[in-house]
Amino acid sequence: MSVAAAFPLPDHRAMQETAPAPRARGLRDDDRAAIEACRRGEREAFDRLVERYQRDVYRICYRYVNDHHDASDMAQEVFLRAYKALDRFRGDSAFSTWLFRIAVNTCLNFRAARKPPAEELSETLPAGGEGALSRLENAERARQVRAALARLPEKQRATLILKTYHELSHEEVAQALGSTVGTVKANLFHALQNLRKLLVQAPAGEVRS
Amino acid sequence: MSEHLREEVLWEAMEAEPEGATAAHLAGCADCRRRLEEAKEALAWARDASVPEPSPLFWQGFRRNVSRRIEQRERWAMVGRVAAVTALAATLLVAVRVNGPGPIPAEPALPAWSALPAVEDDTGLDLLRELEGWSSDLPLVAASDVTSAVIELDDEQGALLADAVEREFAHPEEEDL
Repeated sequence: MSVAAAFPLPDHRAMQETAPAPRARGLRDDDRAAIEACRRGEREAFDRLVERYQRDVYRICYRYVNDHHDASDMAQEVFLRAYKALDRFRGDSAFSTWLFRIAVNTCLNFRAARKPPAEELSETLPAGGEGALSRLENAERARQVRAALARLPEKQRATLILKTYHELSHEEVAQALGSTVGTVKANLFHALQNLRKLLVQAPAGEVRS
Repeated sequence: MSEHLREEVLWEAMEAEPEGATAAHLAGCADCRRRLEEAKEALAWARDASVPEPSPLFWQGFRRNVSRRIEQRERWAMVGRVAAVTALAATLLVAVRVNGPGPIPAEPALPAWSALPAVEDDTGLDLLRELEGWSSDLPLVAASDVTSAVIELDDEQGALLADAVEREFAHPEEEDL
């Protein structure tokens, strides 16, 4: 039985998102210490890293797939991959940046393996008029936005998630996605345009991921 | 009107107050201003869309599951390594069986110049039998044992042995002297 099955979905409306783990531009000292301990074979040190970043990784996955069970499985897979690849982490970037890159790749692989995915928005959409979004209650609007986000093109979605929700710099997003700063900025703007079009086009409650 | 602003520039205009050419373009281009405002609105919606926070119980189970899956993978990796070594050993064993172990080298014969004569040819044994207190009932021993016995003689016995050896192997010409 998976963790997702063992622990039922929480009440989405009742819970508030907690702040992401503090962001660091370089490798944090406590991350470095934990990584070195892991390399010495101290498994408990990796548990500390999991505890530190589990929420961030889970949220990336959740925003990608808009589903608690899938996000939970994917987040576990992210940490397994990270543990396996830990010897290859050189410490040139923050551990979180490296981990988020693994998370994005895991999300991409997950979606590729689950064809057909949820209908994805085309790169460009015709401009839409003002829709019903303003009438939605906040919680419902949040649900709609998450669903719309999950339909954005892969790169745009990953860029928007890392920049907007995980406070990575443009350079870190570019590093995480194997892109350039210019492309990151352009993708961010495209993502917002498409997100808006998707939301204002859809009647209330009809943005499905 | 020049070309519209690129998306990259529009994003920068969202992050910081536009200046210079960008500001001038926005002042004169309603289309770019509209795109900028719509993107700002979408960003505000996106920021409001929080992810529901699972319960603390979920996170405990999450960490336990990650830990368990890592253990499983390590165990399988170990099984894989053992299987690989076993397979290699089995392959080598089969190869040796198929090709045969090769000829067993014969026991090397004593070289012709060996200082250790065979027991039946050891004339030194006769000499030792003649020594005082020597029992003829004792079995013959190998030359190496004789060597050990000689080493264990005390000074007096050693002198007696030396005299006996000298007499036995004395050169005829010397005796004549």
